[in-house]
Amino acid sequence: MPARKTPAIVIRSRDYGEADRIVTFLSPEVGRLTAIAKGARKSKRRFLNSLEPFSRVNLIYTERPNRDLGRIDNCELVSSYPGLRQDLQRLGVAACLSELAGEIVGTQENVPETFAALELALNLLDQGLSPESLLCSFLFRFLALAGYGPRWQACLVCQQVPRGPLWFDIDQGGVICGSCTTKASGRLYPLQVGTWKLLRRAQTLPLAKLSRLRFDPWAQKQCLGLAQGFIHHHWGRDLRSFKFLEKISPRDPGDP
Amino acid sequence: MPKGIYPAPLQKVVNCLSKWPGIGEKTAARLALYLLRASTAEVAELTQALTALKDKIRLCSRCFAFADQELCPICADPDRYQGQLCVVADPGDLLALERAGFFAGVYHVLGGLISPLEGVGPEDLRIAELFSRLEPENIKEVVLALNPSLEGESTTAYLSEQLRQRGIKVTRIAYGIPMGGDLKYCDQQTLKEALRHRVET
Ligand SMILES: [Zn+2]
Ligand SMILES: [Zn+2]
Repeated sequence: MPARKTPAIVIRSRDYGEADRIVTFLSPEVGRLTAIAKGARKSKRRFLNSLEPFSRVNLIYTERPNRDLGRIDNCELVSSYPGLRQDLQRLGVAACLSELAGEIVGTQENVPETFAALELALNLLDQGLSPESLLCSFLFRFLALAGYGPRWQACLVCQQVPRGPLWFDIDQGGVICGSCTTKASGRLYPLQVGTWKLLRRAQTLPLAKLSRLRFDPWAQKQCLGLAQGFIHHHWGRDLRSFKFLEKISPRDPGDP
Repeated sequence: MPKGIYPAPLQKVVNCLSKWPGIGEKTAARLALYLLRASTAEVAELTQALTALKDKIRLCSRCFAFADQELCPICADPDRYQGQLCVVADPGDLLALERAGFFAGVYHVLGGLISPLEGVGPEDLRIAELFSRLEPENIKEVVLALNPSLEGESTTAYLSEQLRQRGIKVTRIAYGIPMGGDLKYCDQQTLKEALRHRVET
């Protein structure tokens, strides 16, 4: 097998045995790929530092016949986004978005778009933009890329511009007017009008402008709750990184 | 579990040993055969030592290193400089630093590192226990000796912030070029760190 070269982002990295490391990458060309760096932790191989999670790298790897794991031949560090390591909130958001990106690329064709979105998100986090707002807008952007984007424009029941008080239907994935809830079939979450407007914009804004959206603490809390419920509904489990975010989030600010 | 070519009792020992780190099937068989030929006294000594290991070793109540008393040998040693406390991720790192023999203060073992992908947050580590030692032990300086990985650096940043808020001097070990290393083969980030932490000679 000839070696392949691809840009990639490390989305997961774990030590294996005494000296090896198994790394999962997101590549715009190949999607999700997992490969082993033999002897990475012991030898003076020069690419260990580039195998850390959330690093943007140029990867050279070889697929091995009849094996699940490719072999990492070289991995050149483009950016480690050092700012992520300075702040747990940024780190947790980077983990959530990387985990979700890795989760969705297996199922659809929008791999280059997902890669571009993750690369941009990591860049913005590294630069110090509000991690909470980035999380809210990018979470739903990733879901949309995977074909799971909720319907924000019109009420799922009456098909009109929804009128408050608004609800979010987790199972059907969309917004519902207060007066239409009797005809709704799924589990309903309350949705503030302000949050709805932000999420509707997050779905249509060009990627490069996504970072302009500002979610206040209430909108953040609501978005995160919706995203968690929605992801749990579609994948039947939670993202591991959600647990981390919950652990580091400041104590409940009370209800709006 | 492989069925095996050895009689069952021998196979069992081979299977047990081959679970050990760095030991494959072949080495396990060699060790098992050695034990089989060894004197009964030698095997009994090993058996007792292994039982005692599980029974007697516990964690030091102060620093969470391995101990066979309430306090580990380091915490119990009056000659260790008490004002300086070195934070490590696990007991293996502590042993490595002790082998170097340079650090004269006391330690604190966190029991891991902050890891978003594994869902490990600050409260899952012995960080509250660390903070509660600062005042009673009159700690003047905390030295953070965590790996220069994503998880190690994130933990270092978090602890630095928290300790500074408590008015404690915080330092961390230098990152840079390994001894016997080669500048040409270091990545840019390592070189940047090495330059940033240069010292006067
Ligand atoms: Zn309606
Ligand atoms: Zn101790």
